[in-house]
Amino acid sequence: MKKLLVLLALPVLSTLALAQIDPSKPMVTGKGNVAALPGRVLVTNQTKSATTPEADKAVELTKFEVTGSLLRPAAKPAAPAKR
Amino acid sequence: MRLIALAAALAWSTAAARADLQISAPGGLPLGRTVTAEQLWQEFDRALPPGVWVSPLQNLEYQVIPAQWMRRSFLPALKHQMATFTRKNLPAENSAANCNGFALVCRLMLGLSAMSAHAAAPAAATVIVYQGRPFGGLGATDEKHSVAFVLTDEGPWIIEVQSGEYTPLSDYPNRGTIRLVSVH
Repeated sequence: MKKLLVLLALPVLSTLALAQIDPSKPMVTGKGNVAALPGRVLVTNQTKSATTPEADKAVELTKFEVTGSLLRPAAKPAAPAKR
Repeated sequence: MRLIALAAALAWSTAAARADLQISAPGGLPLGRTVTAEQLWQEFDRALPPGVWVSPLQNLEYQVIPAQWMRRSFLPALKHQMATFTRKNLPAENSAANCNGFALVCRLMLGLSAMSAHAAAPAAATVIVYQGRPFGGLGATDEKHSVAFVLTDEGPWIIEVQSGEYTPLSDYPNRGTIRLVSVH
């Protein structure tokens, strides 16, 4: 009977969890909508206060600087010939 | 006659100096399954490690891309496109011709193919990942890198755009260090 209840409850719970997600808003895997985590997310590029206590440390989106490339580096211009 | 030759030479040199770049996307995208925004989010939530940022999904539904079409049409076209960039000898360092730019081109090409097929927006994204392990011809750079995500009818793929190599997301060696997924 317990197993049956669990089996019945699982789809209901997963439907409820799904209903809480608004895919038109930013999300974080394993957590859901960012907006549902008030005070737990820092927006990128915000200046961090030096007095921010460690306990309040929030999920932080770092700046993404991407550099990997398979292209050959462009040839550097040749130095002007000395005369 | 001399005037015409002069004009032709001038036009040729101007075109060469402008170094126009063109993007071409393959047609014939078969219209198969679509997923809703909620289902696409669930796919990300299921397939990616926790803590990955996912951009807002602004469309109601997205086109799942047939894997066979990817292999037969899209990936060869992508490799051809990347080869045209290589021939242009674009600067790789601190320029738009970096991995992020190429991943955007991949997404754009999929978008163009979907437009031509009158399909929904492709279930595709650019991915920012920490490249701690080699994949697709690029070594372990230990830097952030950009690759493409495509939801195919065989499951989610990761594509190293610059080489056209792909793998199921479950086998992607840097899956655990994916940081951000941007669909729009």
